[in-house]
Amino acid sequence: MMGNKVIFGRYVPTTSLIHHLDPRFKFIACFWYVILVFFANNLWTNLWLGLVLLFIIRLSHVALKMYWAGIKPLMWIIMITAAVQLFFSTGGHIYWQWHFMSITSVGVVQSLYLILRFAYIITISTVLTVTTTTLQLADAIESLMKPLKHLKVPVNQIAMMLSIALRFIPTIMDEVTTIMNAQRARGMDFSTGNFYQRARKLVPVMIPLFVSSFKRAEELAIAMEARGYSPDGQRTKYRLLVWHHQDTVAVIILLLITVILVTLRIF
Amino acid sequence: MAIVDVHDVSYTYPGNHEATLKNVSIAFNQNEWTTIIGHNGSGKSTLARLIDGLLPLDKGSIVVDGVSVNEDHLSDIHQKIGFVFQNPENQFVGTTVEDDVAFGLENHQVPRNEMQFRINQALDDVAMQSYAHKEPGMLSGGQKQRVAIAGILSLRPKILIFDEATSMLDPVARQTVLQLLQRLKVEKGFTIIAISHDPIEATYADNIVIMDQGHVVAHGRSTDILGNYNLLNKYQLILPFTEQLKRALLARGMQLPAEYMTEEQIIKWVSQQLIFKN
Amino acid sequence: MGKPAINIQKLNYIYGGETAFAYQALHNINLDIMENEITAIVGQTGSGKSTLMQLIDGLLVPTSGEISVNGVTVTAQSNKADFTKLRQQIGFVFQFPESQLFADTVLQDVMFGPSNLGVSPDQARKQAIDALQLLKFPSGLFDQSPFQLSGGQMRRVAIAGVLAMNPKILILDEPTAGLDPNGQYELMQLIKQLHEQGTTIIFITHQMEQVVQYADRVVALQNGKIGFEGTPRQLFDNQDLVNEIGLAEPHPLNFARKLEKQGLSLHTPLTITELADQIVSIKKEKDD
Repeated sequence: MMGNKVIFGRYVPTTSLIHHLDPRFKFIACFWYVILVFFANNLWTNLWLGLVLLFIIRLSHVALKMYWAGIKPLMWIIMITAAVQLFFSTGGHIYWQWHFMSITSVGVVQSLYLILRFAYIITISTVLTVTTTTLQLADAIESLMKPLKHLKVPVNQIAMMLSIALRFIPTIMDEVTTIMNAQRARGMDFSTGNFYQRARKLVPVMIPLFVSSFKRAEELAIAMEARGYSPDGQRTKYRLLVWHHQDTVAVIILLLITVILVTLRIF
Repeated sequence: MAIVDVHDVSYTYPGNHEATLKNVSIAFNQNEWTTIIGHNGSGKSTLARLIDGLLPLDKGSIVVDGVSVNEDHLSDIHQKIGFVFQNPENQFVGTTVEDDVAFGLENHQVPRNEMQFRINQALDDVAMQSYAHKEPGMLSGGQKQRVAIAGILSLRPKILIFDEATSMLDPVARQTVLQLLQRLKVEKGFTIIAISHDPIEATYADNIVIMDQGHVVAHGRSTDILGNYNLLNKYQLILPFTEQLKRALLARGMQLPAEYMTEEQIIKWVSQQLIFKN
Repeated sequence: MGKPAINIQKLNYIYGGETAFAYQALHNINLDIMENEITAIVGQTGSGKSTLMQLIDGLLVPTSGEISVNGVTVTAQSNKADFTKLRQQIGFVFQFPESQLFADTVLQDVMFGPSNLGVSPDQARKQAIDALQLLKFPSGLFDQSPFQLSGGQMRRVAIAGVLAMNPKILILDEPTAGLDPNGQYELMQLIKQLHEQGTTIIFITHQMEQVVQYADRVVALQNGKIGFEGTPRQLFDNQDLVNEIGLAEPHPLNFARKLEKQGLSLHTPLTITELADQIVSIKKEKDD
């Protein structure tokens, strides 16, 4: 069934420019942006990063609501961390003090920056996940891992594992729902009891899930063998990531963004 | 001409005392459809897996299209034989339909520039082309089995083995898959080995093998076997619909030809009896 | 005809609530399931059969409308206790129910249901043994691990696990899927027996031969709506409707249609017996 849970933000199929960029670029650019976020240390640099982010969001043709949905579940963590920053930072003008807690001008600014940093990082990750399918992401990771082959890392096997995991996650999620429903139909109530009791109630779900997953894995392994798969064998690859002109342009823009950020920081 | 030759094969699963297959010798003819019927535990699936080299051969020998089945020839054997399993879900490897078809091609190191053509052709053969980019979660069981068949067709095998591949499908989907197989058999000259306990599936076959407790107990033209009430009854196998009808008509005092009749033949025969005769 | 065991009014169900991926699985379902009858639920994959059954068993919360089972009514606003109460009226055998087995022994697994309902261990044990015996499950295997059984035996244990709760209404989602023909026959006979002992039966099936042989009434779903409700004969008399809903005809009827194309006229034979009787009587007329 269609019971996929929203974690960071689920792929939203629009045909924006961002969607069409090479997933490898998007993956690295996302990391790069996160580094830049930690590099930003003053009002101007932070404003610049915010502006860039707003621009990307607009380009992605995905509703702001989706990005907000990415931040919302993490709101509490952001607020608590910001509060800690606010009450325990020292320096600058002191507005308020009580025992070891104080609110200072530095604290206010620091906690505001902290909130911004969190928001930026979550949002840029959401940009990545709403504009890139999990399959493309897996391809990107596989492709980026390629150099590790020289270090004898079994990149092909890891990539196959990743791809099979992606393939079976929805299947297994459905199965969990079905087994839980079947046990609820047998009078099980998952929503009552203390922590220990609730943990015990997972037994009638987890055991059938393990049993069926093992059976599934066994059948899958035989089916893969019958179709000529061998873990150490050479394989060709159907899915190709193609680097387009637009990706090169995007790299240049990313560099420009970085240069402007560095300038703003020095300035 | 036999394309698969099984000679004196026995097999015991590790940890079991009793052998699952006992001195089985059987030959499968080229370009023919053979259905193996028998109860659970009769050894029919084990035989199929041994033929494809998915289990190590204990005793005896199997030759597939001139290649003997052993460790050294597995890749070759897997290329000659396409194997479709029972559970549609657990043989769908790819994240999308086209990726699943590509999986086998990648394993057999088919060059990238050839893949697209082969994938399109295979999906076209099973009428699943419009689903190429769909994820397995959006497909029905019958559609998944058709994708599994496409995955196999793309490798251009000579022999197709179906291990209860329609048993988890609803009757409409089952008919679709069986008719597809029949068409492929004729158009592409496949040899088909099907394992089934479905009497409808048996009627599609040219030959029928009955297995019981690790032995081959009958092997012959399907017309001979499906018309043999005593034999089917002895092994508690369900009669095909046409035979059930024939017996019902006989019981009501109608005179019918003794030999097995297909559905078309019975329809023709009954209408001749009822319309033209006065 | 008895009184309704289940009454459904203006029932709607939407998957995925307020997200962009929402879709309506059931549209305005109004339905009575009669007490002490066998009702078959048919329809293509994705027509809403399983969703409807899960709603009846209180496993899903209706988006709107109401469901009453033996005087227990639930609506979108009902609280959890109401759904629990609803569930206790009904036994639900899921598709491939053997995949829900988990306990160390067969007996423990079958006792799970009654124990959850709060009966004493002794009573749960008794109910479990009764259910297993009803299914003709060999008592020598009661202390076996359910995972060491054959597929058919596992299916029986799983069904016993539901029957042990002594439900007045039993829902089975494709109970014979994946069984061989003999196993299918035995299971359907058992369902018939339960019905004779006073259980109201609802079963989902794709096999029209089962509908003809076992069902008193048939409900056909089509794209989340009720496409037909009535007796199997009424359904199959209407060939256009059967095609429109996307059902197969029972094999004897399908055969009769082919004879009709040859110029014979038959009267919707649903079983081989009926088909043979009709052919023989036509022959008698011709001969006379």
